[in-house]
Amino acid sequence: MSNEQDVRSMGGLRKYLPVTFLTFLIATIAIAGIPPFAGFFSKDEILMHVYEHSPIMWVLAVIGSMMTSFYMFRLLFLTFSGSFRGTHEQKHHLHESPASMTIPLIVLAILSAAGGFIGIPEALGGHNWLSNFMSPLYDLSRRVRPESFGETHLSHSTEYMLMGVSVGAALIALVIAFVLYVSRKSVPAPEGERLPALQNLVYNKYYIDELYNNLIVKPLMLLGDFLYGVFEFFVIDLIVNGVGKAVQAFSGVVRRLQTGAIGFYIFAMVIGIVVLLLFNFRGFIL
Amino acid sequence: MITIFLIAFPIVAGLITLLLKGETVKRFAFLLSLVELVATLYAVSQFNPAGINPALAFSYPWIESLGISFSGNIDGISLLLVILTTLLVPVIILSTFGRSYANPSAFYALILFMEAGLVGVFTATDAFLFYLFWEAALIPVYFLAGVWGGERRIAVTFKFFIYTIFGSLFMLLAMTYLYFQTPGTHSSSLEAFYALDLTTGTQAWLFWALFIAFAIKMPVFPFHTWQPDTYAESPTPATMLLAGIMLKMGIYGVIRWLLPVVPAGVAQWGTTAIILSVIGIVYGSIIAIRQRDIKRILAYSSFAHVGLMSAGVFSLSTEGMQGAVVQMLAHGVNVVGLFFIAEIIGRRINTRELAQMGGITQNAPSLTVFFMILLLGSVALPLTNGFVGEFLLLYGVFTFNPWYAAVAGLTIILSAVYMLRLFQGTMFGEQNELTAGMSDLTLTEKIALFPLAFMVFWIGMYPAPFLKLTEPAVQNLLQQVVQQ
Amino acid sequence: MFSSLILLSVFGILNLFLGFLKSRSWLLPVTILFLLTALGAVVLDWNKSFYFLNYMMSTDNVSVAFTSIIILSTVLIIPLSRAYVRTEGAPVAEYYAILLFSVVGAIMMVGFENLLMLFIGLETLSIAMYVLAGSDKRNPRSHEAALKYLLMGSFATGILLFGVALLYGATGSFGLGGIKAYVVSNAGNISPLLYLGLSFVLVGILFKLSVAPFHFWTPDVYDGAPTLFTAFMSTIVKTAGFAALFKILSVSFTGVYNFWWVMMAAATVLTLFIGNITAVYQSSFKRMLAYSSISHAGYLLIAITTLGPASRESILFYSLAYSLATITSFAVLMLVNEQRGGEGYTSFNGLGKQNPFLAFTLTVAMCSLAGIPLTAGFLGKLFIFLNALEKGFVWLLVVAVLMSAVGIYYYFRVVIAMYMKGSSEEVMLSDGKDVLTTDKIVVPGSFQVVLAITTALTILLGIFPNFVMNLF
Repeated sequence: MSNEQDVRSMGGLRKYLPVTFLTFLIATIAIAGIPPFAGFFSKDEILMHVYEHSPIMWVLAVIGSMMTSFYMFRLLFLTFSGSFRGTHEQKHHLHESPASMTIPLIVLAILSAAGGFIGIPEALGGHNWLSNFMSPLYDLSRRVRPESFGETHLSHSTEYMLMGVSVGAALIALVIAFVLYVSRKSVPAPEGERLPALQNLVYNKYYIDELYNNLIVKPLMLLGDFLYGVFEFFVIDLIVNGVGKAVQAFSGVVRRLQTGAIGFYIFAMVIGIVVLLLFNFRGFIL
Repeated sequence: MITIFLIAFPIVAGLITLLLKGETVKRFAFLLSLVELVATLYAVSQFNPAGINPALAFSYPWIESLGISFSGNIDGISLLLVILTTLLVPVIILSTFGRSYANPSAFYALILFMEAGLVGVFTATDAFLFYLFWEAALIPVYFLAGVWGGERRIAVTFKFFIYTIFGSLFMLLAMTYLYFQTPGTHSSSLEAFYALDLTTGTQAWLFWALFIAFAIKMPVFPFHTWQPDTYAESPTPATMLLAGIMLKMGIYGVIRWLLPVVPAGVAQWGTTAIILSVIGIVYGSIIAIRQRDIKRILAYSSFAHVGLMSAGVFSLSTEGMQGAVVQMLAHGVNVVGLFFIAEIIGRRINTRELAQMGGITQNAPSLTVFFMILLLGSVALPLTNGFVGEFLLLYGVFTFNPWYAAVAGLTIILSAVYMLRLFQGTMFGEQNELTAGMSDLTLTEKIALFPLAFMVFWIGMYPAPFLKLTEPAVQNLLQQVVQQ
Repeated sequence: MFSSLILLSVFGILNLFLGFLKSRSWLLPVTILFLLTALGAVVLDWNKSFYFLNYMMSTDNVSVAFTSIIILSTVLIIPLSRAYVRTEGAPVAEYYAILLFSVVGAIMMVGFENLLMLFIGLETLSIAMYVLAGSDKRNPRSHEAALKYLLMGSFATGILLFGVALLYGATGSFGLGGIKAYVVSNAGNISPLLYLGLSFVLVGILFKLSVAPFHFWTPDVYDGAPTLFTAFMSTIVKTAGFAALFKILSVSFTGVYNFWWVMMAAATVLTLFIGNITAVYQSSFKRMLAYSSISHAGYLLIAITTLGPASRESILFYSLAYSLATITSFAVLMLVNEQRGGEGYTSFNGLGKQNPFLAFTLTVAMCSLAGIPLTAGFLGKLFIFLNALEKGFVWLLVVAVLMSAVGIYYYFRVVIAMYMKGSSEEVMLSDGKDVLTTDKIVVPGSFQVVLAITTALTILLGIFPNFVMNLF
């Protein structure tokens, strides 16, 4: 699609990119957490441990996963169903990707479809092959909080309940997305059109990017410039080089003692002897 | 015996290299460094991490009348660093195949001499022998940087040379003092130093004398101002030796010669050392974000990383120490690879200015892949080598003081910022006149980068062998510290 | 020792007669043969201990070792006199004879048992040096050097003699043994005359060693004198002087250590300071070496200040290391000055490329002087430091360590010039008139041999000090 990434200019791509559509569909189902695809198992395991820790957090997490399901299906429907909304020129060039891109897609799709089976929870009669991967690293954390690493204490019935709720939530989201973007064929508003305030806030990602830019990025850059431009060279290095310069400057002063005049040399010697005698015989003088 | 071979062979190899003429020297030097690597692998096969390894120890009288001996030993920590050294030197030599340096026999001989010095530093168990190797490792790299370096090389490398020697003279002072505290006819062996029982006041100044030497070498904030200039001005092989291996001399020095020798001094001043290290992490990272020269970005990034290692070591926890040891290996691999990438880019488009790059990925996909792998290792992405080390290091600092760990943890975010900025600036974006002519990696370059990329994943995914190798040694050391 | 004293005196006179021969090419090998014979005679006295010349002198292992170092240094310096042999009309035989006589003086300073013998030795050595410093008849700077040296040297000798007289007044003896007996038997009730006399004697010796504040002659004389004789002065005179200082203090005056260590410590600090700090500013390599010789007097003085059982080994080892490195430096300097013109650092530019051998030997010498490991100079410093710490002089060591760091700066400037600065750049003398040539230097065989020996010994002693240390 020659670098177009705006979903508003897509639609109906199912016909033109069948392999891409199929793999995308599998990935969407997996990420939405609908069994038996991989996403379900990983999400289920996480949610289960969260529930164990705090049911409120579990609720939030389920809402989050529901939204995931919603936006993924929204993306799927907007892109692949309906009719093409791009320019004529673009439509003319639509074609399936070469094998070098579709094969990885297919491999990934297979993995996301079947990958979950290596970690089937015991509640479903499986065994988790991966739970001890990387264990040497967390060895010490395990020593500190062994309970976090143990097997779950939840009964199987609770687990079924949790699974049911999360799957249900995902399915509800799927349905909402379908109704909105397939049945009603609504398309997001084009650029520049005034949006309702809430939608505007969401569209601009709550202005978090701008907030970051002004609160963190810009001060960080300024600080970097200050540290490198000022502190590094005019404070630290000045001290370091200053020691060297001081020795050199001092050397320039001491060097002047070497006048070349023999009278001065002998005078210096005599002074030396006098000081030495004064010191050695201070007891007799004082 | 194998340990002596590991020290002596590079010297012999260097001398042979000196006698040869012409461009074939580099191949010869490469082969010799491979022999050294094979010898190291033999030593690994002989090594038993849990027990003592008399086969790897050596001890001969040297200056008998003073109780100074030519003695060394290899434990897990030493072995890991010897592996690092002997692995990186062939890679470094291989990385020079694409360009020719004037007077190549001297160039490669110096690299090999330096290898001998480094292996000596990591294995010596006599204070004066350690000092001897410590300086012996410095001289070759000083000449490498000063003779083959960039325009400002003379002033920059001279500052580096005097600064580091200045520091190590204090170490010599401390070691001579320690030597005289040993009972009977004095001894300068490590065990004799470990057995000392010094007053807290004495340990405090000894701590500083030793710490300054090691801190300049690493470098720890605020002793670092020699480092970015030297890294930038040195020829890249010298930069790799400096950042990849020599930097570890400082940390190794702290682990082996500072913590167990003056534990009361550490108890008193260790927090200061950690604070300085943590400041260095943030300070170096923030400056790295604003650098324009790609070698300087890497220089400041290396400075920031070493801060974390130093903080971890001074936290006196098993995790921190283990993390530092693994991270020394990981950082060595990553930084050598990244400097090599910088060298490849700089060599092909004749500039190191980030602003003049962009779009390199279009002509050089393999370069992009290797760059990405090493970069991810460097920003400590899980499953890469950097993660293993940094995780343990942060954990170690956390057990010491959560607040320091919180500040130190910024390294993860900040390093991602400057490294991705570096990656974006060089690889992505529009091609320009310079980068349009960029060619991809040659076979030799791929061969040189492959072991590094392999190590990134190996340590990242299966760190257990490395951790197991060093754990007994780390435990021994910590016990030594706690006992006193 | 006795035989070598006689042998060298006879050889010196023989040398004068050899000067009548037409062919001068014999002179050098014959002189070296003479010296080696004398060295053999000295070594024969190893492990013997006896007095000779009616208790005026004695020999023991320490004096044998010092004498060997002195003769060995002379053997290494004399082959560098090639330029004189070639110069038409130069009185080469006389030069060699004077050198042999001065070695006789140096041996007296090493083996004296009587202060009068010390005086005679010192004068024999000094007068020889006055002559040699002014031997470059066409160079006014050489005249100036000789005159300055003579004037100030006479002044110092007068003080020394006065001190000897006072010591005699206090103790009734010129002999070291007699003075020691007085110091031991009158402990707690020592005549102030002895203190006064000792102060004056020390000043006289410290002057010869160019210890601050009696060092002012050194840079001017070293700089003005022909380089060959500068090399001789800065090695033989220094070694003999320290042997004498060590002997007089360790034999006779250990009983009054508390009296003299403070002034030695003060002189040490001042000398280290002046020598190292002033050397930083020099742009002439030769003048830098003059200041470096002052600073090394400072390091050696540490071993005297902290006099202990290990002092003699450390002084010996340090003197040997210092002499070897200094001979190398002056040898290279002579070649560079002769063939490139100029004695500044810039004259050494690009030497690493043109003459790798010369550059390498000079680098080793500089590392040794700067105290970098794997050279004899490092171990020399280490032994002196160990000696000082054993006595608890930590503060003195801190000064020495800081000054060593300064030392690295000026010693490595010449290394930088040799390896890191190109010979292709046009090198201008400081007055801007003369452009130096930077061609490859032709190294004569005699120089090659000397440089190979000094460099090999510097490295060997840096790795296996046992060769020398085990002798004691």
